[in-house]
Amino acid sequence: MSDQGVPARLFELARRAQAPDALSDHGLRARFGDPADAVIQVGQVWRARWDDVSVLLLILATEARDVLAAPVSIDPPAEDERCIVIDASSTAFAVEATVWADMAGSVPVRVLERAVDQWNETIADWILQRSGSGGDLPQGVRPGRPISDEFGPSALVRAEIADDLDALVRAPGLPAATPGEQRQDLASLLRGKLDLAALCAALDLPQPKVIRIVRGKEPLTTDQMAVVASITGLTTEQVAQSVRPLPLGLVVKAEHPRWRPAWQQRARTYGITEAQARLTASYGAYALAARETRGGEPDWDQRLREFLRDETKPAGES
Amino acid sequence: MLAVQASDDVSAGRLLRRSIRHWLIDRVRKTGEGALRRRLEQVLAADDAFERVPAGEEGAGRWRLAGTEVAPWSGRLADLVEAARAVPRVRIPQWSSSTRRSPVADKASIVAVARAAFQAAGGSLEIAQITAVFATRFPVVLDPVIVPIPADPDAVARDVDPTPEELQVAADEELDSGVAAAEIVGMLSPAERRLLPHLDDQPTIQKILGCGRSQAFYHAGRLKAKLVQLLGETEDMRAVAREVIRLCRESERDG
Repeated sequence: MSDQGVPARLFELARRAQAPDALSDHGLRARFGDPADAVIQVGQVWRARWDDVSVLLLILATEARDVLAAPVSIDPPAEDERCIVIDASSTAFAVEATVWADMAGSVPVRVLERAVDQWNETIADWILQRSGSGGDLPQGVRPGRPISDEFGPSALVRAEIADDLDALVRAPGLPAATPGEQRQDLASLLRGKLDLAALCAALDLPQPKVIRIVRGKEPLTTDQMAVVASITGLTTEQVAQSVRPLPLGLVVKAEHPRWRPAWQQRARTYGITEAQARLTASYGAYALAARETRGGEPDWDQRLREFLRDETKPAGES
Repeated sequence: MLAVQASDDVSAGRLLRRSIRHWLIDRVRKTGEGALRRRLEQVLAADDAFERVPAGEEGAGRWRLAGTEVAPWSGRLADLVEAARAVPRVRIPQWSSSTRRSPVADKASIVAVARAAFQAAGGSLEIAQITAVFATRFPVVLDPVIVPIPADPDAVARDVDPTPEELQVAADEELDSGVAAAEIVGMLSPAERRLLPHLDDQPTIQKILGCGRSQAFYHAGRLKAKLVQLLGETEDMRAVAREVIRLCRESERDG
């Protein structure tokens, strides 16, 4: 039952194991293009990952911030009567793939990392319609074999996948504005009782940055929220809600997997988490757009690019 | 698998650990199935209630109830398992060694369960089919971990004014229960002993196992099923269950 460490020699052996060429980085680029240009489409199989949890997902439908997707497993071989099994010749995996069709659900786009295969769309269609008339299975697909032991290995695989999906759905997202939502910034909440100097000292931040925090224009870490709460007498929840949410259009762009390589690189550069890298860059892009006088919805991809470009300029360069 | 699903060492390590765990489970089950199959063949061959279908007849080499001339069965395994589960008072013998796999059941119980399966089938069965029925009916034999929990283990009423004879009987029963409980605890793995006192406390199980709620639910369910199987259908099963839980709790406290 325990999840013990892996001997280094096994880890190294697994690392050296040959994968089908279509699944190598070169193969994936040849089939799906540069990850920075990724497009999410029905019928694709994506690797979804957050922290140490990773799951393969068959995309059934797409929405702004979520996809409807069914989990897929290829190892260990496992199935039950609620699954469908895709023939090895129909996938790039070169082995049978099990689709846990009844576990299909909404998964945030922000956990999608890379498209690894493209299946015939009839498979996704069949899963979407199976609750209705069902119908014959698409070619190369067979129904999963029933399990005889409710506590057998396939049941454990099902439980593991369910927990992994729970973890992915909990992956932190960006705070998004909803129409009609009113938020009070710290300045409003404190109504003139603000001790800016004390706040700067407690947060150990320069005054301009603290002013942006007070006006709700700068994101706060959990630790910073606790500090602000202790200095101001507000609750941590009040402090958290004082941060102005981001426009939905920006959130949709920043959470798209095409930006994940940039967030992961930024996280490595600054020694922060991917979520923090995405959050702070998104607020940076938001601030950049706010300084513009042009009306209409900004080109958020462009603003994100500009923010990252300016951020990486050597000191002194204008 | 790793090449497809993992993108860094952290996620690859987690997947690899999981693969190794599943491989080990699979190996244990296969070993158990081989031992179970041999045990069943021994019992079926030695008991006059069963016979092999002779060469030249349909289904030659299969097993059937002696004196019947039935066609090979090809129905749903679940029907046979249901019939096997309906056999009352099945006993699991006590451990004779801490290193041996748990025995599936005593010989009389195996015969009774096999007979029920053959009657439900109404046909001849391959040894693999009979093995599958037993493996489902007795999951303990395929896994080194076990347990059954009564729905309400504390619901046993005690006499208010026992007579001296009743006190003696109660003392004997308590001793029997204690011995049986100790034997069962000895058949549990250290992880199961830690889990048992917390079977209705999912957050604690998650904490002990370091897993999510679905896996905690799975492991708790499996442990309950195994405990039920080990307790058997004896009159004092509730008392034994209480004692098993108490012993596990003490074992946890002692560290």
